[in-house]
Amino acid sequence: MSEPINNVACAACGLICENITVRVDNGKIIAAENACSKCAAKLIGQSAGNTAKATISGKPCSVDEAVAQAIAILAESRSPLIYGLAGSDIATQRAAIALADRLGATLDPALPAFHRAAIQAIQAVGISTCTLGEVKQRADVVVFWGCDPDATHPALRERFLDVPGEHVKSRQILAIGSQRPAAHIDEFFQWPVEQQYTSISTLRALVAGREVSCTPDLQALAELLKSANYSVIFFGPELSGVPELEALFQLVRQLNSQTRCAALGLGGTQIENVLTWQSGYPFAVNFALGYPRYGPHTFSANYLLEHGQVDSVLLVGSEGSEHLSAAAQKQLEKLPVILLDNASQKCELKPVVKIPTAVPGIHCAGTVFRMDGVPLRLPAIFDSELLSAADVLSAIQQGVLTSCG
Amino acid sequence: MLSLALLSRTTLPLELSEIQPDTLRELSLREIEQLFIYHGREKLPLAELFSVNGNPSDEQIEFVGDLSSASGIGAEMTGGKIRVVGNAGNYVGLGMFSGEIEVTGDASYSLGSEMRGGVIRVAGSASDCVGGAQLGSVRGMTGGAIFVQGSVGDFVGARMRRGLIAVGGDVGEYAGYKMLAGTVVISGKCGSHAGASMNRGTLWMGQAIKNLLPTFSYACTSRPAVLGMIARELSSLGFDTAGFDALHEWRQYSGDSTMTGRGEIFVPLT
Repeated sequence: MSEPINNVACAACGLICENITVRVDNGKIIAAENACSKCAAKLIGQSAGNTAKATISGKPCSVDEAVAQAIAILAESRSPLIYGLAGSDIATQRAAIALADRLGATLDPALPAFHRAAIQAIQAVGISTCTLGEVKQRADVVVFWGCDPDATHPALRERFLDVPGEHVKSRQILAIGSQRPAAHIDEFFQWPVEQQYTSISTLRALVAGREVSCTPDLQALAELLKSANYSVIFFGPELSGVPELEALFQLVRQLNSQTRCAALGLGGTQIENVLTWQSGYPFAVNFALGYPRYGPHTFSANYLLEHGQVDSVLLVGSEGSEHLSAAAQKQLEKLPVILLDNASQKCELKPVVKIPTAVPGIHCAGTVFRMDGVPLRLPAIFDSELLSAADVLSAIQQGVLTSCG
Repeated sequence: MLSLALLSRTTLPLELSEIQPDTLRELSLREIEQLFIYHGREKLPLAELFSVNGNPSDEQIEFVGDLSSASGIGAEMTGGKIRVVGNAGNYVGLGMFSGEIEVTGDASYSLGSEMRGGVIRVAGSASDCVGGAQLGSVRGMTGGAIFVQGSVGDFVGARMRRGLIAVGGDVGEYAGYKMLAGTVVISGKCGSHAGASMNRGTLWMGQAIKNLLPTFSYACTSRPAVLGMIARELSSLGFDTAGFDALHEWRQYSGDSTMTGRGEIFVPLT
């Protein structure tokens, strides 16, 4: 067995734990220390991937041939869609945006519905937020609203909540949602999804001191949030409507006039940042007219696919395709799809062109934004011959420039 | 009248915001045929997609065909009339200043969004955000009138600032969301969260509504004179006002108390 590799960073969820140690035997990762269940599932069994082959219509070919075929598909397409980028690093996002711009394509990062809604709510009313470091050092009340951290972010409690912070000795953990999370919660408020807006709205009225008829648990929660020194509200998939999140962010703002409160999305890495600083818009950006146009609804991958408004799709990673609706996934099967993906990623889709690419943090180094927006470097574990997705996208862009003039 | 008939059906996006009655008025048919429009990412002469006939000098344009994938018909138009015989797609009348748009089929997303004046009539249905605001905008429609005979989706009149919206059928959730002023008249059933976060403005319901938000409170039962004026305005513009007898008494609710609380929802007494 070879020497353990320390300080491996894991991008299996939005937390990006950097304290993982892996052991490699016979070219494969066989063990991961300090790893949560999601991290172990992502890392164990991974290899340098040098044997992965590109394919055209399922038949193995060279990467150059696959890239040439991808260029042919995209050059002919009148309305291409670039989707995916879940788990991608900054370099890949830059390359995907440059390609979308040159092609006049629509670029839509594979974000879950609540993350998209949160971005729209932030654009409408703003957000008072914080980093995970502040949660650890200062938060005395932590609320999980419409999310289950132990299922999606297994290391969150261990790294940030179960340890005492610099300014806080213990903390109260609350949960709000349709189902009680499996792990320990000090207090649980069971509200069905359709009641969330009404509840948040009532809380806003209570915090503002207005008279409103409400249940005792809402009154109790309002008092608890007002009496906290620093409360942090993590929100997740059950709050997937823009009005709910706008109301939540406004509630957080109201609380800040009396105490300190912050909201933080419990999602994956922030894959919208590069697109935002380059095009001005975070997702669902269309470049067809030669300049970026934003359509959170009408340029979303779901809408375009469901309405047959695209005729080819470049998938940068199959991770995140579960966020597409059933109708959109069905349409995907009918279209020419180019897939850049790691060979170990299971994918039921049968793409016309498949090109194996390196995974940042395993086969190549890369920088990603943690769920709270902190940029972190993922070092490579293997010395791999796999091309990075950024390299493949740049090669496709060069080819598109040549063939389209 | 200038007639533009779609030659063959397309599901790829068609950008039609450049085709305006006033800008085409002085052009010959040949020049109109050579105007460029976007079909997906391709820039094509209009004649490749539409058969161009008639005369544009009277500032009237008729689109014929299923334009469900079109975007921006009559966007920012400043006068004249556009008639769509068929479906009309997204952003119909986006930010229009004046003039008239008639759609015989359905319209899709953001019908009359941020319009400043003029009239839009849709014989079929429309989807979300009728008369609403584009994301990031502070206000939705600031004037004019939108009539939809069928049903509409969520967020009708979202962030609306002034003007009139009348819906013959049902509406989805969040009617009048964050409304600033203006009037929305709803004949059919209204989904949940009506008037959420409204500042001012009027929602006039033809049918009783369920689950009014707790941040709305009962104000009074009355026979407001303004409803008679709205009903007269509606019938003068050809909208069926059978369910809106202003002589009846209406229950008035005020809200949303998380905002200024000066919005009003009128519901039937029964």
